[in-house]
Amino acid sequence: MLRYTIYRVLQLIPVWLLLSMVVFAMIHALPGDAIDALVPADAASNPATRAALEKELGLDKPLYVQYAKWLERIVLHGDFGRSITTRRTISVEIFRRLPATVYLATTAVCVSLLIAIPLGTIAAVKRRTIVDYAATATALLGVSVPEFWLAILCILLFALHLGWLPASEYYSPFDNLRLSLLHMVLPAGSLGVRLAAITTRLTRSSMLDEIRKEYVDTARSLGLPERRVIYTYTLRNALIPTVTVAGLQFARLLGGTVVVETIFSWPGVGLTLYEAIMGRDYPMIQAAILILATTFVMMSLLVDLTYCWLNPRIRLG
Amino acid sequence: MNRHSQTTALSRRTFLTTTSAALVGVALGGLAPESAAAQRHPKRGGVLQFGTRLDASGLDSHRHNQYHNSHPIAALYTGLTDIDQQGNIVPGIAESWEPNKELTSWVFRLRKGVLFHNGREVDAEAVKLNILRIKDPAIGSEWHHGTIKSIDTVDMVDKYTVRFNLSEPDATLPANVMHYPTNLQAPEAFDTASEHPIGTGPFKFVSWTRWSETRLVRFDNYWETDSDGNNLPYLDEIIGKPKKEDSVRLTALRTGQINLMDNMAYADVERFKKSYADKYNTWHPHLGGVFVVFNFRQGPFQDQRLRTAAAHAIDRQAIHNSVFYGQGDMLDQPYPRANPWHLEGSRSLEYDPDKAKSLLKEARAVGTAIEMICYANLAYNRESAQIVQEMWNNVGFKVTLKPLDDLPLLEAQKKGDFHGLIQGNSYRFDPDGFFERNLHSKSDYARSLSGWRNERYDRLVEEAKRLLDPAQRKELYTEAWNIVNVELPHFHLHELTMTSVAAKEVKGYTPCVVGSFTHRGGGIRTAYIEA
Amino acid sequence: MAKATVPPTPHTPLGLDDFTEPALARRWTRVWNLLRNAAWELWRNRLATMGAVMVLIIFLVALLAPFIARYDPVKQNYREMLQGPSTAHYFGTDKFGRDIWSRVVWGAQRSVIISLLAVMVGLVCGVPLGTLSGFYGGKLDAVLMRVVDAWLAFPGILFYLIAATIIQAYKLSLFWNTVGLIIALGVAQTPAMARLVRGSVLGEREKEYVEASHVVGEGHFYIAFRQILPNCLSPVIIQATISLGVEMLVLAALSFLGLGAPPPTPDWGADLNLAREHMETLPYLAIFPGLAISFAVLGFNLFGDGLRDILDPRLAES
Repeated sequence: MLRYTIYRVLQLIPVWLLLSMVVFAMIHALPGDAIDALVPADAASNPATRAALEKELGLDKPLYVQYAKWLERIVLHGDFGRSITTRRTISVEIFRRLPATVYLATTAVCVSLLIAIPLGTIAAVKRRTIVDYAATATALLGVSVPEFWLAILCILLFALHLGWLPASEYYSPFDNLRLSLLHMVLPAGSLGVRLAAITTRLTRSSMLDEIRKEYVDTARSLGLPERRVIYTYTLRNALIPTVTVAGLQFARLLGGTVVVETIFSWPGVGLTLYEAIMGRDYPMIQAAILILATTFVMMSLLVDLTYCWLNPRIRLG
Repeated sequence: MNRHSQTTALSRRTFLTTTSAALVGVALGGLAPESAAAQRHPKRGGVLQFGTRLDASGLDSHRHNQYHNSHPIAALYTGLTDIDQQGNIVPGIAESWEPNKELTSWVFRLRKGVLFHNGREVDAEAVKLNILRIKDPAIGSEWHHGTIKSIDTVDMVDKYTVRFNLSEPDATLPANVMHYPTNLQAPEAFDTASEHPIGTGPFKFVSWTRWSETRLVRFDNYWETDSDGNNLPYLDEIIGKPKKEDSVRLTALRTGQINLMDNMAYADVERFKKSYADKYNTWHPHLGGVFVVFNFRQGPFQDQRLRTAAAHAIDRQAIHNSVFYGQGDMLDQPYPRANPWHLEGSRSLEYDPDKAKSLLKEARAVGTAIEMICYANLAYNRESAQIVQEMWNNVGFKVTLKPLDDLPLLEAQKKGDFHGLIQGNSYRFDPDGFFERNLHSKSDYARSLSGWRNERYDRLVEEAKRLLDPAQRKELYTEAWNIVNVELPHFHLHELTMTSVAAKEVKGYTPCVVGSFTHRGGGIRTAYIEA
Repeated sequence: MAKATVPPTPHTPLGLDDFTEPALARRWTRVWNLLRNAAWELWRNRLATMGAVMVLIIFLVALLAPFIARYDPVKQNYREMLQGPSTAHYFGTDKFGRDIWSRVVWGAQRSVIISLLAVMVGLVCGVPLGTLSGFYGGKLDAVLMRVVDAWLAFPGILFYLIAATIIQAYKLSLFWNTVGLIIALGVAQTPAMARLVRGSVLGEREKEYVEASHVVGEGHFYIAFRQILPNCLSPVIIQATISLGVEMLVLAALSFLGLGAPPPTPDWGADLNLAREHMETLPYLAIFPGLAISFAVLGFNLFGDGLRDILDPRLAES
């Protein structure tokens, strides 16, 4: 297991380098000079200051030197430079906002699992009955509705008309857990419902697979109560692919929360990336993409390793 | 619409007397400076939760616009002059000012005992350093530069007196050194302005997370007092909560999460006022206007017949109904009807689609391709552009509309890479800020808009800049605007208004009629919460 | 899948033998059996059938848009703005006075074309990539999969946002705007598609017929693309069908973020976006475009699920 882990971690390095190269090259691939992307328009209009800035930013050196220096700054010092729009240090900005997105993604995945596992299990156990069809239909409906529409509808329904939930602001769970969770329901729900649709189907089919296996019949013939057979043994095994997918969904979600963050004004990295792209704040765009992509890659690795650990047969493949 | 006229009503007499007073800087009574220990009102206080549609893009007020209509952070600042609830220029940190005879230099006398948030006193040196910083091309944004471009050098006459030496005679300087945009920061804190700004306003900085929260706390040594001598402001704290999504902001207001809101969506206003007038106060300040820019630098609109046809083709009623839902006025000039600078004698082109069609036929230009650009992220702008596009198509043009984000639009503007453009203007406290800035041939901004050049217009506007008498200036501007109505570098469409709403528990608050939430003797300075 | 149990007729050119009564009877029986099988499958998978019907409706609407739309979808008339559904305007009018029925119908055309082409781009890029990677294995596989991993790591929204940025930078016409969008959407899908194909190919690679082909001396490309790939297509087809639905939702989200079609192009997402201001008062504005999107996406999902049941009986319930 350890060997496999090391092998996978080593594989990570070329992937990350490739990522970083693409992110770095973005600025130089755009139309116009790189300097226009890196400093505000006012500063770069005067030819004298422009030349001075180019020298200061090292833009007169060959590309690979620039790349090396850029990489060095990031890896060794964690310095992503300054945002063009806000003039503040990028690393401070992004790392201040990362917790909000991670929190959103985590709760969304939890919500989806809370919905999907019971629903999928029941649908599998009572397949081809009305319950199954209802569960399938609900799951599919969840996937068919545009995200922003669902989010706004939920706000209008639950916050305004029913008054059950607040209109959502970000509160850190460490400051005030109750308030934080209360405000979390709508955003996490909007995201979670869609994930749940996929996970429900997956749980259902993997449960169906498991139920057909030999050990289930053996357990039954031993006289164990049906409920125990299903929930204790079968479910546990069937959940492995579900949890794996949930992990991947979480990783994907880190970059995919833009719409929900925009609607709820959630101070996360997705919104920052979106604003940065709209405002053509290239240093921030680079930093945000790199951080999100790195997180995704590491999360995928973690998920893969967990899956391997849970299911030794795969390891040798 | 009647309510609107009410709120912006300003009698001619009040205007003329107050403005002349402002120009010569007579200190308004009842607001004597206080540097003695603060005397608080025994009962008033509270926390204002301010939900805004916009948020500042940065904390350094010399680099980034601190929009005093919709950025809570603008509460940090005041400037040499200030505005009152009607939008007139009144004394701020400067208690009086006067120009020399030729209007080439102005002397401002500062109030004593005005402090920055870090305790340093505002003196002539601080003012000079601020102006120099704004003028620094590496720091001040283009817009900041444009506003104080007439200031050449700054002299410190004595500790509390500053003289501005101008590069040209300018009667409008007092309006340009108002806190929007010429606000004062503490010189010691210039370098950390992007992290922790220090101003002179009624509230001081605690924290700012873009698009999430702005926290401001009362500045106890703020110089302004109320009529009983109590120090302003009353509020303990302001928490700004930007919420881009209109329905989310409105929901937050109705569920009590915020108690003051700006920019209610036009579609919601009618219904809200009908259903909830008893629980909330609403106001409709004037924000500015929206207009069409015709490019003179390249493209088919260099032909006057086409421009005239395009102007005749526009039915403002469509914009009034569809985009603004009947709020605000259809305007053919920058200032609204109730404003003293509204030009009575101006003649502009009427809606006449048949005339437009025949003009096009005459110019043998039926089917001309027009490239129009607009702001992708401003709903009113984008929607007005769609309507204009449709109307031009109806008379025989072939218009392609390209909504652009802010930066690409700015670039396209500068390069003149468009035929038609839908732009907006914010309220200009002095008309010169509009007539010169937007249309004078030497103005950088005007060059990036239509690029129109007209000697007579230039001379009229330059002359108006040298006169103190508002009536005379108005005549000149009317004549100038008539030229604009014929040559058509711009064609005004509609007024921009905003609906601002506060819960009844917010007392003592009225926004300025031109939108600002912080003004002399009002706004957040005199607001307090009383359940 | 079990073939028909009728013994195969000897391979003869179409001669008199094929028109004998027993021969014709056998042919008809075969056709009849196939139809009966298909009907039975369709009935068993009612949801899939429903999906298929929904997909068909959407395609028909998209195809027949010019004929079933009643008005010009971009024609404004502010005097008729915000009218509810009526006989004159089946779905009512929007804030510019445009007929919503016409816009939905033309919007179907746009959605279908963009989604189809985007999925095709994804297939064209992803399938060869996955096949080669799975087939050759070894170093090529390692390198290609690292590239795919990196590709997959970029947040999906990024491709679209970048495409939008480039489109704006060059101020492209509607046509190129659409092309750019399609390419961005397709490129975002490619890594997932490539992975899927690679997985299948890896599975097929070890089978006997592949070994046999190698022994006989068939060319690599022939084996990879003409023999292995056709057997791996079922997951690809299923994924492609479901992706069609996903792309439509992505298009809607892009309009919400302000990156969709340049106005006044009829677009479901753009109309849904406009309807936001009236969500409480005039829900019909949002319902019709929203329903259209949901209908299409649901159809594709159901159909894709149904295909999965038919093509991959292993996954189907007994």
